[in-house]
Amino acid sequence: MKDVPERDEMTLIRDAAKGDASAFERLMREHEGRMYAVALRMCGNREDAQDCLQEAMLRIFRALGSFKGQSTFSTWVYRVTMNACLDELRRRKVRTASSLDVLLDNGWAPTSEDDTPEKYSIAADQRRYLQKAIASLPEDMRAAIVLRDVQGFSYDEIARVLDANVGTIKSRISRGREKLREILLKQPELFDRYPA
Amino acid sequence: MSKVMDCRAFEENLNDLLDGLLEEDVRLSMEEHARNCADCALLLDQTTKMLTMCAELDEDLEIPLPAQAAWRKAVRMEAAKGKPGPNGRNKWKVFGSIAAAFVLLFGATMAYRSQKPAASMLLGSQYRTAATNTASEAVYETDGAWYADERAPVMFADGETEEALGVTADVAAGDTFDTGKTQENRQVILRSASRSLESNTFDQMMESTAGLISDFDGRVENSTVRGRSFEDGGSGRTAEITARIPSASLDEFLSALDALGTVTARRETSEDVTERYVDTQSRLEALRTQLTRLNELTKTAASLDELLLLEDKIAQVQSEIDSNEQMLRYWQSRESESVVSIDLTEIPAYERTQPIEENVGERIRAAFSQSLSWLKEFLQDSLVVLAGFAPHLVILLPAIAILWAAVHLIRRRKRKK
Ligand SMILES: [Zn+2]
Repeated sequence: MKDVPERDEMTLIRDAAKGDASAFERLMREHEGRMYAVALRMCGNREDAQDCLQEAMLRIFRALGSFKGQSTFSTWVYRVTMNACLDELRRRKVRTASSLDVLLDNGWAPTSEDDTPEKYSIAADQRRYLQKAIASLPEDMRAAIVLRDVQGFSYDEIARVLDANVGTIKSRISRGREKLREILLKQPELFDRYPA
Repeated sequence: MSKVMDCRAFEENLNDLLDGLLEEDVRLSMEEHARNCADCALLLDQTTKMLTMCAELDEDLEIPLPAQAAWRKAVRMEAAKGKPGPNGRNKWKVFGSIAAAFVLLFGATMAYRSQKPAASMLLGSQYRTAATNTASEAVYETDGAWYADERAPVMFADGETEEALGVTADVAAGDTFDTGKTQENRQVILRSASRSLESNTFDQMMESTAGLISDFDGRVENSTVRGRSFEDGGSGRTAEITARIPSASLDEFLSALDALGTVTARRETSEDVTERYVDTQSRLEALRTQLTRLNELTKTAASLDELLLLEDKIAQVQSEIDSNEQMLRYWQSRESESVVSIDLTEIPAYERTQPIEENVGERIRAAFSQSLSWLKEFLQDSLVVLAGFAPHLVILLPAIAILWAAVHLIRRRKRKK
């Protein structure tokens, strides 16, 4: 993880804790992109991701005064983000637009619904299928896979963010990868088309 | 570890292999197994590809503008309702700024006092004449504006009406100007004049000057009298008058003025601002077009952030329009009314009597009142300096605004990365 020089971060945290919104904005600027990415993968759509990001930001802003540096700031930030996402998912359990059944019914043919307009390094339809596959994982596995395989956090960091021990995280990731591969294998050409 | 690895062990170690957590010998034996076992090789291949896809999935992901805007707005609202005003650091900033402004004002006032021609009143009329004659490259006007001849910062005339604005708009739209001349052949000449006169009948000279100004439909913008008359034991009075005289009758006015006393200095300037005037007009036209386009864009803004950006830009263009309009209005007013600076000096009609010997009390009182009048004058001069600096703001403020917007944009761009 990239780090701002510690002193700057601490100063910004202190100012933001006093209610200085612009200090808070500066403090969060380097985290917001990754927070959004995590929220997007957890929620599976942009609207919910935006809501979760906003909710996480508000929670962090309100709780800054009680952040005493027990963990590193960024670990805490992603923990709050993840919790905001899980709360959101619990609240919206009814809306299961991204369930595995729907995914398999529709196949992985490109749909008109498009949440990733920009240029990417892998083809758009492959991305879409992968996104849906990730979104269809059980929450605990999804959280671990998003942090580890999409965002590249270390096992230790993930354990701290998800508040579990490293052994638990390892087994979630192991099961998550197996499950993800099974889903992706429903469309084996995905692997064929992807260069090694 | 055994050299021979079975498929089960391979699967168990797969994740550690992919996460780079295995020791060399285990890694090698897994690779060895994969070479001989098609199933495990496929498993390794597929999982590796899958992880590469995952890692690349959000590599280029950009957080959408609405998402950036939404949480900032929410946090600002939260901050606005909850927390108290400026914190300690801001207070110091405010205090520091005020102190710095005072130091600047003090310095500027002292600098101004050290070079203003009125200082010469202490030295008699001989010197005064010389000073007025050499003051040609920077002429000072008592309304607080300096004209360092060509490209002087200018002060805008107050009390301009809506009509003036309407006229300017017509001009920019390519219509004829209020004088009926067309934009192309219209000359914009700003005239100013100064006179230094002396007389031993100071009051009469003052009265006649005031009468003359009103006879010519002019107006007094500023009038200051300093000093004590010779009759009262002083060293004579001086007056500085700034008048606006309709340009059409300026020459007549000046020759009438010259008859009121002995002329010790005479200066007339005319500044041709036609080119700048026309430039400003076309700049104004371009800005108005830009404003219309920006206003149209706000109707189709895709996000809050985009809208805020457009509004910033609109405010910036609007303020440029305002300052250009002010410039035109100033030129229009200066064109129709010339500025005349008049210095009047009282000279003795008879030999002065020696001042009577003063006692200590009188000297203290004199010293005190001298300091008091110094303070009063200093404050007046500060006001003059402040007013004189006001036109610079017209140039400085848009510059600061543009700079601020640029910094803002760069930061925003950085944030996206
Ligand atoms: Zn095998």
